Amino acid sequence: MTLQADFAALARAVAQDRDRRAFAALFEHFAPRLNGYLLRTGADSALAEEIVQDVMTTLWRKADLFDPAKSSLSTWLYRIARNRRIDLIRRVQTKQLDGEDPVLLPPDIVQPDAAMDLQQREAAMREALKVLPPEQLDLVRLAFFEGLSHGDIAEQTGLPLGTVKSRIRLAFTRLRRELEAAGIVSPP
Amino acid sequence: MTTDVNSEAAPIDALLGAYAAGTLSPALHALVASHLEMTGRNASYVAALEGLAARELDAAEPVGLGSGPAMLDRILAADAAQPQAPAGMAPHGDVLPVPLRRLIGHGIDRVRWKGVLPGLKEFHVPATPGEEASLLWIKAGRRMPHHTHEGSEVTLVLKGAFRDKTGRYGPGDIAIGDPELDHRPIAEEGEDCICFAVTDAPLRLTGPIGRVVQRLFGRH
Repeated sequence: MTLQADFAALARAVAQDRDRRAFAALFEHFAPRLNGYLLRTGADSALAEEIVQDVMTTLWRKADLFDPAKSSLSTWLYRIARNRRIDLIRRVQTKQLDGEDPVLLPPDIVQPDAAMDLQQREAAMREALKVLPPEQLDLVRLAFFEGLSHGDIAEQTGLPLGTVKSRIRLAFTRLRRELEAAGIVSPP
Repeated sequence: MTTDVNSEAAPIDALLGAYAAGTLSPALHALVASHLEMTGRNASYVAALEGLAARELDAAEPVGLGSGPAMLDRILAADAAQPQAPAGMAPHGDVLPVPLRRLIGHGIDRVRWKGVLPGLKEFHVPATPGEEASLLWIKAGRRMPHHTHEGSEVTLVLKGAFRDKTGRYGPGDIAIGDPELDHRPIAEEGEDCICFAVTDAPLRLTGPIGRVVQRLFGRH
């Protein structure tokens, strides 16, 4: 069993049996990581804590909407945290993510290669990233993983804003072509 | 588009990347989420990027929460009092996809349109500073005034279709306008066109009528 398969089993126990110990195990794993991730990408500690509480509450209440065949639990929680953070930017004071928020549902995807499982897809993604030239990969890392704006990146790298924008555009299109070639993304 | 570098890149891929990363403004985030709800075309790419971002989450240095055990207790204790989902957000044939209804707070039936020109109505949606977001209702066959953008303009077609120099855009399609682009979109005959447009700087109307309109209506 992989780690993600363990998580999926725990999530199922939460959904079907309201298993508090299963939830506590998931909480123990994910809450500090979500917190660390949010703090690293620029949230202050109060905001990070609020998002973590909302995400974990959603897991406790809506675990039945998680579909392990469609994504890993990490990806599902990531999406919820991302959207919750954006909701909080505009201070939409919905008490919680409501059950009708589309982000809770697996995206409707026809996989180009249905024979590949999640793990194989993730391995292919790591390979695809390696194909990017280093200067593009660096910018993707800053824009995508560090969550910096194009303006911040221009300042940090000393590159003109136009160069930052065009390199990032090119990098995301190249990445997409690689993922298409690897059979994990459908062409537009 | 002047260099080879740019002609190879599809601007929508970077927009989808920023969506997956969560770095878009609330209005643009809702625009892309609506696009994904309306068409499955880019869903697999976005899902792949979200998978990459989730690996960062897995690899993140765990940082203990100030109120960790208390938070766990709170979540488990609140179980009995589950709030009901707000009514009226479920898909019910509204022209507005769910993410846009959540952004605006209501459906298309409660939108208070404001006439801008004959055949063009607009509704401003709250946006972040430096950004403008609006629903546009363009009468079938109507041509929009010439305009350019100080920043980029991202437009999602919700209903009907329009054409401009760069092509035809139908329901679910996203058009991305660059600062240099001076265009006159025209709504197709037969059906009124409803769009959601987000600009990161105000539009500049460039034709003679545009200048008058600009003077009359100014910025909101």
